[in-house]
Amino acid sequence: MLDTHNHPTAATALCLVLERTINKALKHDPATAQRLYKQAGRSITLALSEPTIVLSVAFTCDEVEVSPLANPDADCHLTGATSSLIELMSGPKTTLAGSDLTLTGQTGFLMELLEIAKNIDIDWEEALCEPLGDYAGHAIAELIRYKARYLKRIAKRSPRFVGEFITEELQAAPAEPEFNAFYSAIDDLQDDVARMEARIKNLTRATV
Amino acid sequence: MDKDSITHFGFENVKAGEKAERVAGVFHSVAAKYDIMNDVMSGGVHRLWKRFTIEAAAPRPGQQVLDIAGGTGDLTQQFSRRVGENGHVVLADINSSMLNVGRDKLLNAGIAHNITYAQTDAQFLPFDDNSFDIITIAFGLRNVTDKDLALASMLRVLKPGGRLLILEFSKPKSKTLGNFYDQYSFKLLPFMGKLVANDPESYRYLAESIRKHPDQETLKNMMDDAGFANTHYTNMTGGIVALHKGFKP
Repeated sequence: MLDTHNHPTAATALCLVLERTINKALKHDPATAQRLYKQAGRSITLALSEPTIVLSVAFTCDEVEVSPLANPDADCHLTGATSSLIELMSGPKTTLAGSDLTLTGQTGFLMELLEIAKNIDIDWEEALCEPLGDYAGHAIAELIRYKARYLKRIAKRSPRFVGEFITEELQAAPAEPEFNAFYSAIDDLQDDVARMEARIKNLTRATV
Repeated sequence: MDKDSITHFGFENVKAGEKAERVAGVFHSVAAKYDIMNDVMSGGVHRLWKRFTIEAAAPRPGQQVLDIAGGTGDLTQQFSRRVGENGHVVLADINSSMLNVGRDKLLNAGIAHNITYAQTDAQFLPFDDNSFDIITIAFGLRNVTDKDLALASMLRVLKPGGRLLILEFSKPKSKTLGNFYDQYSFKLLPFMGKLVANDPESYRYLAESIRKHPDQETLKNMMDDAGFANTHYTNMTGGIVALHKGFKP
């Protein structure tokens, strides 16, 4: 993907898109922008796998720069799986303990960035109103908010729905009580076999 | 290289003394439409090649940069921002028309505080020894009459540890891409030159000069011979363009 070694032009294009998106988004989240601009002069290099992504993010006093090359002078270097970084950024965790990510350099800087990332609050409505006008922008923002809430609810309930569909509707797998009864029957059978084995041993001994 | 020795101007053989004059003619002719033609010819990809060059140059605040054959100032604009108020960028070009277009463009963009302009020949750079942290030459080296002389001149004005980056058309890695690129260069390019800039001849020269330019390995060896250390190159867009980088030991 963002593999500079094999695809420098594509990696540069993706970094450019990422940089423009970040800087545009920051215009609609002044609090996050201010906190990031305070990091001016510092940078972080990410070398991630699955998919391969190598990029450096540098902070200036008025924007964020994304480079497709690793910066050997970066304040910190983070390596590991891409999914682990996404999990770290979106989840409640604030340390690297238990993840496969490895950090060299300033841990404090990474923690500051993680905290900033977790508190991002972009005013999407403002971003939409700019090109579309207030009325259309507000209507679309409302629709997005409604859909987001709906998807969140579905996502919360979906594991239960999927389970019921497989066991009750398709009957492709037994339900939990059936499983429990089955395991209980196996346990009883195991006990019976053990008892019978002991009895046979006793009878054999008595006969001899 | 002697003034009367023979060199190439596209596919033509000309006297070395004549080449600079003819190259100048080409660039005087295309200067006004240079930026728009670059976008049309490359589909805007030249901006990515240049951005990658900036990232590979890794300019830091306070550094001194020389942008040779900087023409319309694409690299200088980025360098100026990155080196900041304590840094300095020299936009150099042998061609006054290109330099004028570049200077006007940068001034119109409000960028003036840390840039100076120099009309100068890359073979005889009029700067002190060990003056620059970074030197770039983007799509310019193939037009230089004596490339070895230019490389030696660049090495002289670089500070020890300073880096030279050469962005230039090169040789495509795959034969299929090479064939497609040939058709594009010799058929479509002059046509677009005629359509947009009303100057098919200059764009025919562009295609021919690319074919006469040393390939990736040859240019790397030339840099090694000139005295650069740790030289390497990165192919971009299948080798249509290559970025060479070397350091002054």
